[in-house]
Amino acid sequence: MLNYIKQGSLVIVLALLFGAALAAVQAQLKPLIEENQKLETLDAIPMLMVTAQALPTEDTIAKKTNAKTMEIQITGQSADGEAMDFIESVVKMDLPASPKTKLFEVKVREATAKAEDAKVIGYVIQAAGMGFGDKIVTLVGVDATCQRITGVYILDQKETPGLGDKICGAWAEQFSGMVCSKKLKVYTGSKRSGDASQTGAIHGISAATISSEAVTKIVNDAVAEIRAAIGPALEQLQAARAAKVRKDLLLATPGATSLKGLSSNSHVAVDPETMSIEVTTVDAQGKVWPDYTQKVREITTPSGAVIYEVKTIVPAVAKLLKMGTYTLERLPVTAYMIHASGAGDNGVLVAVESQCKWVLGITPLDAKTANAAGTWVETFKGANCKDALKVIQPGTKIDATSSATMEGYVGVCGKSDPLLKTVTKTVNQAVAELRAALASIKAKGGK
Amino acid sequence: MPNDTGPTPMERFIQGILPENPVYRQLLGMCPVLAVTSKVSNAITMAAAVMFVLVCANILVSLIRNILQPHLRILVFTLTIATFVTIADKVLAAYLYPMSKQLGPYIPLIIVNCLIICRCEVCASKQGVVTATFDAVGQSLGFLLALVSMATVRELLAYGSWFDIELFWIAGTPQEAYRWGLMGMPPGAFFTLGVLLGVANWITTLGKKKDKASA
Amino acid sequence: MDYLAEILILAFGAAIANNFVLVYFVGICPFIGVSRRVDMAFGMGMAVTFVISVAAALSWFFTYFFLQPDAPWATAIYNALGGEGGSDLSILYYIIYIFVIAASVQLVEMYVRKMFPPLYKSFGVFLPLITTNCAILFACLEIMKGIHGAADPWGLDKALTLAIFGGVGFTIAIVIMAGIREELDLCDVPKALKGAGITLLVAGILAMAFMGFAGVKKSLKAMTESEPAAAVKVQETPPADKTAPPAKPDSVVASISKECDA
Repeated sequence: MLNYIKQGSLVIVLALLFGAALAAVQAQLKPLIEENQKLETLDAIPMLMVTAQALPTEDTIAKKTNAKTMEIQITGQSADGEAMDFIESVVKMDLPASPKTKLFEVKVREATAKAEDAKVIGYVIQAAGMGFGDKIVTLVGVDATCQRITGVYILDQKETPGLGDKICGAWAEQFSGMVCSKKLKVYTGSKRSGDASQTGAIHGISAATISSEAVTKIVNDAVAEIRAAIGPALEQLQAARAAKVRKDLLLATPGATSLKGLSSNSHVAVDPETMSIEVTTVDAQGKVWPDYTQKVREITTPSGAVIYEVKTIVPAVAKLLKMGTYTLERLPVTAYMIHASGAGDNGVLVAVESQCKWVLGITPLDAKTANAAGTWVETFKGANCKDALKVIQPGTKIDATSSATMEGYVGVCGKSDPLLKTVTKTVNQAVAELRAALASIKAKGGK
Repeated sequence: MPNDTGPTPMERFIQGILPENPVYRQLLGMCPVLAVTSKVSNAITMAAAVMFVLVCANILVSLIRNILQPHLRILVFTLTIATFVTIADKVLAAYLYPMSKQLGPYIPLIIVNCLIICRCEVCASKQGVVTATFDAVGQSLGFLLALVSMATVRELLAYGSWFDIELFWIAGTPQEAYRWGLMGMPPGAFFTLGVLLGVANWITTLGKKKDKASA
Repeated sequence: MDYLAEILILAFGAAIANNFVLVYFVGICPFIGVSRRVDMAFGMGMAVTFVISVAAALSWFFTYFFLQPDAPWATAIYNALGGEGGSDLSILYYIIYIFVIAASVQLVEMYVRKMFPPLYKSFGVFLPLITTNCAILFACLEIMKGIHGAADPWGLDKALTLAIFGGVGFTIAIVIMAGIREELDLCDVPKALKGAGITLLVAGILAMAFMGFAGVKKSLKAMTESEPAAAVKVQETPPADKTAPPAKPDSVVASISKECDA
């Protein structure tokens, strides 16, 4: 026994020595290696989320990544020349069913804002599958509502150099914007029709169809996995959000649909169930006078857009309706409205009169944007929407023959706030959408 | 007790580079020579890792050569090499992460690279620290030379670049135009090494013929 | 069916499409050194397959239960000793593997010598050489990759499939090579290329041939997946057939009865 120990003493001493050395290496380098692995994911996030969060132009973009807090600060200039400075942060989500699944939640906030104000813009999952030669590891991003794929990034592959490895290049960009509800399919040749983002058609790489199909399959599986993981929670959230938006929308309707707007002592009561709005005025004595009620109807146009039809019932008509001598169908439409996203957190309610010739009014649906815009939104009232509306600077001379509102100018504002431009742009888009929606309804009704 | 009666440090050093080149003359450590030579940058990283492990293992083995039990020597060699390879692997993962990902399993496979265990056996367990160090450096330079020569041929033919710098005469041409993709793949590795081995043999025989002629 | 497809693809990949020797270049030394005669090559191949299976099973066991981060048994021991949280012994992977390999070589040698003396006679001489065969360590490393940090860690089934078929792939490659080299002995090979040079060139051509198998895995998968789809189709078609044939006999009967009436 003693002899064994004597003979083995060198080995034992060496083993202890090496053990200590390895422990030191592990302690020193493990955080660094883990950071490297995190950075690899983190670096790909901005490109994965590009359709959910626009990036600065390529020559101005500067990225600062921090693997400890899992944040990327992105600065630069947008295509319009506006300064951009925001932070994308990544949080790994714990899935009790499969704790090792790498699913991340991506949030974004202005660089100056607090971390609590960050808004979820999407989810990223790391997914792998078999390629032509070996495993392909990808990151797949979807938007916050799991509606569209925002990007696909190839982390690791060993496909044929020159053929299969083209999946790493610009090819993967075509996944951005694809709808999640449709299974993606690789097409070779040109026998495709329609909008690729709706049909889920992916261009195969010639001479590397198997690699293309492998990536497409991984993406399909990944999207299914994300939806399975966060779908139920998301649906609940969406339902709650939709109910709130609907209520906000109804509350904003009277202000948006009358040229006069509401007086300061008007009171609005809404019933989201029946989509009806009651406007009352409280006089100085505290007596309540019924003003009018409005009925809102949600219409899904043949093209898939959702617009709202508003009918105003003044007390006299209400009596007729009650007596049954008049029907709601015969009542002329007061306004058409659309809920336009793009400006503010919750979007803007835009109302036009029944022929879509002029704007009746707009109301930002979140308090922050409404406060920032202030009374400026009033200048939209009565604006001619034949042409696109423009923001004019203070002191700009307007052609005397046309009033500001008639020729598609939106009023003067003291400060040149990018918010005004965004809101105006959103309104222009909304009006265009409304016009198209009304046209499609008319076309259908005509038949 | 073995004495320091082998070739001198300088001889060991020179021998390692060409006359006893580990790859072309001794046919040792073929696995990384074939596997990681599709690009020069990979080849150099691999050679650096091998150099680190070889030098460290040689020095350590040489230091303990007098107290080493002969029947335990292979065990000690393996333990030493495995430890240094682990360290090299972790350092690479910490500071050169993309490279470590590309080299993948070939860094841990250095453990079973015959070159290292062979040098421990032939030189380090018989000679002093200085000789062992020179031997290790010489052998790893020879290994580097072999890897880089392989990688140069393969990268030039397969990607039209050298050390990731695109060659000027094909810059801007479509990717397929001048690139011989096969050379970047496994068969290209076999072909290149086969041809280079042949060339190395041919040069040696030429040298021998000259010696004979002059004699 | 998914499980079958997975195992089939893994096996086919290890043996043919991602052949250890011709694609990953592991086990090149014996591939060049011991491929002069077919019988020797076969013996070497068998020895490697034997050792690789034992080593893979052992290293799977150690990796899964002890070495991987948060490994169940290691964590239990660590916590029993008063530590908190999960254990992470991943730094010991390589050292453990190399000793597992050395141990399994010894184990196989002892076992085969005792139980199958004729078998030992045919390939026992290769066993000590195998310790430094990269193919075995490579198999261990692949198994480690399948377990370490994976969302769905490999079980023993996958580890053994990879190892056994990796060994089979090695045998296939080395036996083919030996067959070619036996023929090459009769050929007039340039002097400089004799030995390793021409072997490597031939290996290159072999590797090219094996590259052709790369896409087969895909169709293998399609094959195993299309089976349930085909079954569904078979179920769908009979009702259509059933509705069609009854119409015929009826009308036939009707016409016959009409004729009878007439």
